[in-house]
Amino acid sequence: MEEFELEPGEEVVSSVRVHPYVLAMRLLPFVIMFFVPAILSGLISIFTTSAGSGVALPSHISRFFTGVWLLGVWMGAFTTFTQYYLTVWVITNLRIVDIQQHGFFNREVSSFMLTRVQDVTTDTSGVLATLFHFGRLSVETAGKDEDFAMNGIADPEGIRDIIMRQVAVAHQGDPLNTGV
Amino acid sequence: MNATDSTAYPTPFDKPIFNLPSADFSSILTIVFFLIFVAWTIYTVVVAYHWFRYGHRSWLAIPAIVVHLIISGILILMIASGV
Repeated sequence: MEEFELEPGEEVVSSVRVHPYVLAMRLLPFVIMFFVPAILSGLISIFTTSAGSGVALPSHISRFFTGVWLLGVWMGAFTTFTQYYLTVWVITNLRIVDIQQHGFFNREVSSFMLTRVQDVTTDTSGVLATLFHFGRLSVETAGKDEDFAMNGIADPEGIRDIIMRQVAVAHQGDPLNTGV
Repeated sequence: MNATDSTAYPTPFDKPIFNLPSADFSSILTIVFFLIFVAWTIYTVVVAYHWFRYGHRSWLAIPAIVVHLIISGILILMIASGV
């Protein structure tokens, strides 16, 4: 790991990302935009035929602008996928590392020890979230007002169980053994 | 009025004092293509850097970059064919 070094004896237990359904919804606008040149071309040909006008863009110019449009759509979609993949919660046996990739030049990395976890809440609301099994997971930590939360993660209950199990293990190793 | 009498028609415009620079559409497309290619190159370098730097040594980094290069390469060829 380049962003954070694992401590001696620390192991990565799980990496959590948003559900693929959420990714698909984020990519949907790009899929629609992909078909815009074909739709526009069809509309133009319908109007020019009905108006009896032979006015049309030369094919090489329309190819140029279609290519530019599709390249923009592709770059947008690939950026969305990259952002999806690089936004991750890394759960280790000692802590949770929250990595938020907001943009190419806006990256936020924070971590908190499992011994500081006070409460883990899951929220699955809506038909699609229930069907596809994704939702919000938030972790409340001691001594800090800020909640760590991630929306649309896959299997939030399973991840909550993993976190709680690791919290229990971490407290067993805690010399103060403060309990959960 | 005699239709063949050229003096009955308005005289043509005089030659302009100066000529506006004429823009060749093909050369504009070439410049636009060049700018797009530069922007795409910068984007590709940035996105590849992020995949390798922050991808946590994921196996997906190489396939993702390869897919990006193939698809955008095809689209750039499409754009170049329209210049």
